[in-house]
Amino acid sequence: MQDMQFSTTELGKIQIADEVIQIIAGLAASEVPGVAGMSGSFAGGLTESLLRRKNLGKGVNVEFGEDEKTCKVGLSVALEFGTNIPGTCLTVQENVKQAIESMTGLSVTVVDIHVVAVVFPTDKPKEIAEVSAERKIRG
Amino acid sequence: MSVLDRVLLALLALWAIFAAVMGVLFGTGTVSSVNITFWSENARDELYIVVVSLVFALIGARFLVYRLGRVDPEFVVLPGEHGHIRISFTTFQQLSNATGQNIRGVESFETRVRHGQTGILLAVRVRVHKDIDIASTSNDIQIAVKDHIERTTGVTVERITVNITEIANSGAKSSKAWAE
Repeated sequence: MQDMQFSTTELGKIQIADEVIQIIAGLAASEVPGVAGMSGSFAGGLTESLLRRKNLGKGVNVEFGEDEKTCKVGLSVALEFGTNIPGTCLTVQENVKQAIESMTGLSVTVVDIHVVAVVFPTDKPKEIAEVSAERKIRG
Repeated sequence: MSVLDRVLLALLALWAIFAAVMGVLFGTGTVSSVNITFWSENARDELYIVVVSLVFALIGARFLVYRLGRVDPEFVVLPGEHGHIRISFTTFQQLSNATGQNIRGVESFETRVRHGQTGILLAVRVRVHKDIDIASTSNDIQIAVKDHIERTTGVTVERITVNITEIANSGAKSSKAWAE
């Protein structure tokens, strides 16, 4: 995808890559209580495994708008069992919108959320174990 | 499916049966091309055959388009202030299974989800322990699953069909079919 032409000054252009927005959105969504994680595509997961590097923009899709400095964000998330789904999604939408707008100055018109699954407390240790194993490999 | 579609489908089925019977008769040599030529001696009869065949080809094409064009999305969309919230059928299945498996007397629990008029329809297949009141357990399942899904997702559960398929620790299966 072509980078967002953010602004042009006398010193040069400022462009923002969609990966930057993806990472900001992914981190903002993950920090909301009740969000168990982001859900990426099979290809993304494979790349993550092969490169042994956590993809922070996993499960985030960004489309730059026709209007100046606007974008649409789509997120695929897995939520923790027991959370109120509409309430948590609303918080995620607000958090993502606020994070992108404050960090980049872009206007976020839409934050669509796709809840792909729920994660049960019994699944959690497995996930945590995977993350710690990954850290050990990196360390 | 509309009444017209049902009638067209019945006609198509009859045509398929007729074609199958003709195929068998041809294959066994009971009917030969000589007999067919005898049936349609004049040009008008041949025209009728062509027209009828075209009509059935159109009916077949209509159902092909109907089938290919009707792919129900496997999620429910809730409109939100900042954008849509889509909840996948997998999420509903997980919520339903987790709730159902916690009910006393339930050994195993599987859920299928479909779209309804204003919400979702659930069909659950349950394996229960012996010596339980099946009617009461089924009622408990319906109440608990409906309440949990509606409370956590905000989506209306229109109907829950409970299908008790098996008694745990017994080989007697009542049914393996899904109740639609």
